[in-house]
Amino acid sequence: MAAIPQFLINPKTVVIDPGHGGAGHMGGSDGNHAVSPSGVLEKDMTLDLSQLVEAQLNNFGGNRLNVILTRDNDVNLSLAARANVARDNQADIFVSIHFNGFNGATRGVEAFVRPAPGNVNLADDTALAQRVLEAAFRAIHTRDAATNNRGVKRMNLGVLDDTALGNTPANHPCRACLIEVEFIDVPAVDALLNTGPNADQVRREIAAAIKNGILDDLAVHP
Amino acid sequence: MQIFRMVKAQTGFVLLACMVLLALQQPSARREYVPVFAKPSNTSEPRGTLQGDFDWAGRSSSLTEAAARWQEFIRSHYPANGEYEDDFEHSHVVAAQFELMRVYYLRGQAEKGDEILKKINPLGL
Repeated sequence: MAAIPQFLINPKTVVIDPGHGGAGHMGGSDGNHAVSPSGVLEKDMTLDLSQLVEAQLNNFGGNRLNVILTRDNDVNLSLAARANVARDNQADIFVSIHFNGFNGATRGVEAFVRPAPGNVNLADDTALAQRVLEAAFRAIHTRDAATNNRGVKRMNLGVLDDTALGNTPANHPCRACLIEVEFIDVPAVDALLNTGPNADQVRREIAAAIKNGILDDLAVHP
Repeated sequence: MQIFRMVKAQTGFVLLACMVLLALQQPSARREYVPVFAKPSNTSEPRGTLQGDFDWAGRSSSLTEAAARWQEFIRSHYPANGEYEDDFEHSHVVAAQFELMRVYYLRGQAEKGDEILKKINPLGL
């Protein structure tokens, strides 16, 4: 491990949330949503990518960076339970990882934050989302120019609820966003991320990009 | 005699108007349904899942069936507290609302269509 960067002099906690999991519905969370043409489930892709991000963050930060997954196997948790992992560990950052799907043609990467009122961290959340989104978009665009940067959007997402994350107007330590990493129902995306000869490497590059986005954000909040 | 003729003419007009309205409404209600957003997906998810129910509603054969199925989809999948899980859920629920709105307009049920349009509030006003 390289020398500890200045922004990790004070240890930080990052919670990564692999979307979905298990089967059925659990407090606002469905077992799975998107499915790729080759049959790969979004819930498996979110867990795989989250574990790659976790490994890369651990590799960078060692014991100065406490990285926690909300799930590390095929189980579903309610949206509140996922956010509560951040609250209970006084996380600095919470990133929920999802993949999208709609009509088999729409492409792109997008990130979401909760709108205000109802989000005491809107500006900081937006900055985090922008960093993670830009990094992930560049990683995918390098491999496939057909992707799009769909931007940072605001949506009432249960997993980004202030109270569940442990944020109050007086004390709001946790910056949070959700990223939708491409539309996996598009055959070209399925090949890029699942079935193509470089799929493993591409997923590692996306994980590295998300890691870099998180580290960039930690660096401005030492 | 003149009053009798006027009443007869008015009754004839009302009957004609009813026939035209019926003629306009009946064929559209039975008309084949072609969705705008809900194209068949390349997966076969079971009923009860968001994707499975979306595909099921999108496969409706008539406007009448589409109205019933989209109503059921929205009843089942619109998040109770207005809090979404992710963009996948949001885009499918909003697409379902647009599909149902369009079905109402095609069936001549403008008020019901307008009700959904106001709920979707695409301009965010």
